Amino acid sequence: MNVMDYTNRNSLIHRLHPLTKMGWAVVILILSMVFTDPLYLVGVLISVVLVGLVGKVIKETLVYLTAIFFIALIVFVLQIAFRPSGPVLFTVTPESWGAFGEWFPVTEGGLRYGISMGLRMLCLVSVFPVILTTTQPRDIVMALVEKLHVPYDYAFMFTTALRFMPVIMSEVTTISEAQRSRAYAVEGWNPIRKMQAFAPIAMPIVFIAIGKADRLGLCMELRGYGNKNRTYLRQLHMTVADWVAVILLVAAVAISLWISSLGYGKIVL
Amino acid sequence: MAPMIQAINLHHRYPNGFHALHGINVSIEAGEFVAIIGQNGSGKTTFVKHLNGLLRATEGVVNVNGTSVGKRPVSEMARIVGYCFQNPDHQIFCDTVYKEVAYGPVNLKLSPPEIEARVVEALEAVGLTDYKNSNPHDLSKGQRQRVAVAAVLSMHPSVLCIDEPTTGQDYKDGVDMLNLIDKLNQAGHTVLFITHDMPMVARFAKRLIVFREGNILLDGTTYEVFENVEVLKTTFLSPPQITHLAREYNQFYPRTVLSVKEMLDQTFELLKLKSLTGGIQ
Amino acid sequence: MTNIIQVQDLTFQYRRGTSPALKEINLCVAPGEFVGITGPAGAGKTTLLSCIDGIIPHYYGGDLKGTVEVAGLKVASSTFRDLALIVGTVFEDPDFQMVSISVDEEVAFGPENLGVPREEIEKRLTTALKKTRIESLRDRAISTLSGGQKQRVAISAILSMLPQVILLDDPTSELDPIGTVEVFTALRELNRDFGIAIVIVSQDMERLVENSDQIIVLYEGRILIHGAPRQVCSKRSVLASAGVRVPEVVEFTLSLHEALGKPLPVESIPLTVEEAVPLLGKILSENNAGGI
Repeated sequence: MNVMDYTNRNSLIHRLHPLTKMGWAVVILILSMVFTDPLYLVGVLISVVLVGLVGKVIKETLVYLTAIFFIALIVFVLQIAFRPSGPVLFTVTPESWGAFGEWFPVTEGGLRYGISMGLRMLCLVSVFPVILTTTQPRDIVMALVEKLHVPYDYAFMFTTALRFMPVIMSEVTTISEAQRSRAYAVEGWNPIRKMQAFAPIAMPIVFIAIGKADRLGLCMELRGYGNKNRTYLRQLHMTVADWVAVILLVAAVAISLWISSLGYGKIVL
Repeated sequence: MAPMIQAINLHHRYPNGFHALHGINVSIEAGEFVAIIGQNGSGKTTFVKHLNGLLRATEGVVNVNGTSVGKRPVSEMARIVGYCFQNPDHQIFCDTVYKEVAYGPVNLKLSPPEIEARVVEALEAVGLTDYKNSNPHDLSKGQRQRVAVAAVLSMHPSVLCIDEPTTGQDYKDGVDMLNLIDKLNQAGHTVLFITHDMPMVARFAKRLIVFREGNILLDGTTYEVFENVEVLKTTFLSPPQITHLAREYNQFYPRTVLSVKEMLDQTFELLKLKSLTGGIQ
Repeated sequence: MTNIIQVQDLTFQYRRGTSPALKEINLCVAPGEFVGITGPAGAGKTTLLSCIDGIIPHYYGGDLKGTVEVAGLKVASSTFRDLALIVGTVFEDPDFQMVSISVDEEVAFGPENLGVPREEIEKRLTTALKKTRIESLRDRAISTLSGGQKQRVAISAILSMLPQVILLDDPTSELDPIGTVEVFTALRELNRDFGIAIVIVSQDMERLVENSDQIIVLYEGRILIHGAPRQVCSKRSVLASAGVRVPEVVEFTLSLHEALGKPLPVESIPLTVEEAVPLLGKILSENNAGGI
């Protein structure tokens, strides 16, 4: 989860208003759904990576995409299996395997559809690392609360969860080390055994987490949490760069919808 | 006879690149009682975690009881090196003390009568026999700490590593804990305890190994280490008050003083007092 | 001048408790006082602090008798918001008392909750960080700090609410020696330079006797002894029966003087090594130590 942490770098993307960036995410969503031609989707993906480059977070973006690629691959395979159409290009098992021969036909349509859906998935999730690494969580909270009128409590839960993830992970590591030191080992593949084996890790962390969550809630109340008329230290402004970005994004959506209506960017399935 | 614990040019680099141990060389004989001291981040805990395989050397060798730790699984090393963590709540998950202490032997796949025998023995050693069927969560912190020690003892390790036995405890529980560890050492276990509680170190430890920024700065008897005043100062670990007081008059107290009792004994000697109470000159 | 904390005949039993956790506690803390509270585990120290900052009865219920007032306000009938303007609490665990990712957010959290105007929050933030000497940590992520730094952030987060008294429940027990020094130094400065009253629960007798105006020893829910540090130290045997120790130099000096049949007057009891040195010197030279 470290690639999703805010990176304190000075870039154009870092300076944009969180709402602009969220708007960009919506635009990418629209573009990913409008186009089905793999070529166009690759274009969308490259545009996201370029934004990552401008935001000086190219490394984090690519690391994340590489990790997600595996899931995109699964999407790709599933589409081939369940959406066959058009001529069969080859089968996974060769004819010579007799009874097991000619299984899993890979059709031309299925292949194109598979690539298309895989790419779509990548486009949809590619915006997350870029936004999370260039926007401070508290700014996301502020944008959600002030402009989109999301109740403060919910937005606050999001950032608190982010803050405590590393702490809880480290507690889990310590518990795991302590139990391993007592010859705890998760061996074999028996799923029931594996579930039973979780108790020595799960029980301590549950007890600890509950106790600490209680303490945390208490500390928050002691510092006046729960006031409806809360003020905020930071102020977010829309700058010229933001308005330019908004105009570009609206234009991108308009152009995409227009060329798609002319038949571009779609593949025949 | 090979030392019980040996580290030769031990280096450890964490995955994020941090070089935590810079070529540690140390040799500990069976039956020793060693305190490993240093500030947080000095490498003391990192070092001890190599002894049961929780961490692996990125360079160099760690030998326990004559054989290299190498890639031997932690579950195997647990039979020789017992590691007791600082917070007992990181281990406790059973609803009775008995089951908690039996967990290790169960993992070692011992026979039921053997397990029973070991649990009884371990509880006896830590003085919790009466609490065999209690729920660990109903016990005090000091008692839970002792349950954790019993749970490690029941695996019959020859080496006991105890992480911060007195941190976060009240004074009495801390002293009880160290007395227990001392008793276990007398019974034949090799004991390493990691701490930064200097007064306790002065009272109980026979040998000190001082860590600083991934290096062993000092290694010797408690007296030897404390006498190295200037070097010890660089670690910001301060000897107890009584040691400082004695130093102000080192013409009268030539040897480093580690406890109030020592200081009183030496002072009475100096003043030629005949007994501890009443004043005779 | 009203006492900043006034506790009268306080007796409290937890809802699920089998006996009272606190019995007939009477104590007062004057504005600007530094008070140390000590005692063995289970003596009621945390319970006592909880009765002062309102955790009891507003968060944990039970049978509460007697009165607790802070700056004249009755704790039992005030809200957390009212109390937050007078008293703040720092807890033992450096991690699970802070909610934010970065230091400045954390210190601003309290004033934001209280609806303090933006410019004022900025001012309070800067001042609070300065008072604990952590201005350079302003933009840092809390997870990257040392234990001592984290506790100072926690203290700053309370300071930004402009309290008159800060309660601390064993804030240094999880810290290494460097962290402990950082925290006690910060507290001493806050108390001496800025007049903030400090009430700290700790087992570190050396630091308590050095810094406190008043020490309270709790044992089995009652106040065993209280008074100025020297006063409390003079009652060694009572303390020992409760499992509470005195600093080594005190133990040594008092034992020595008793053995020589020259008991020390209370005002002369040394609280630090520096104070103990001349006393020892006197004994050694008077008695021609080392033979004639």
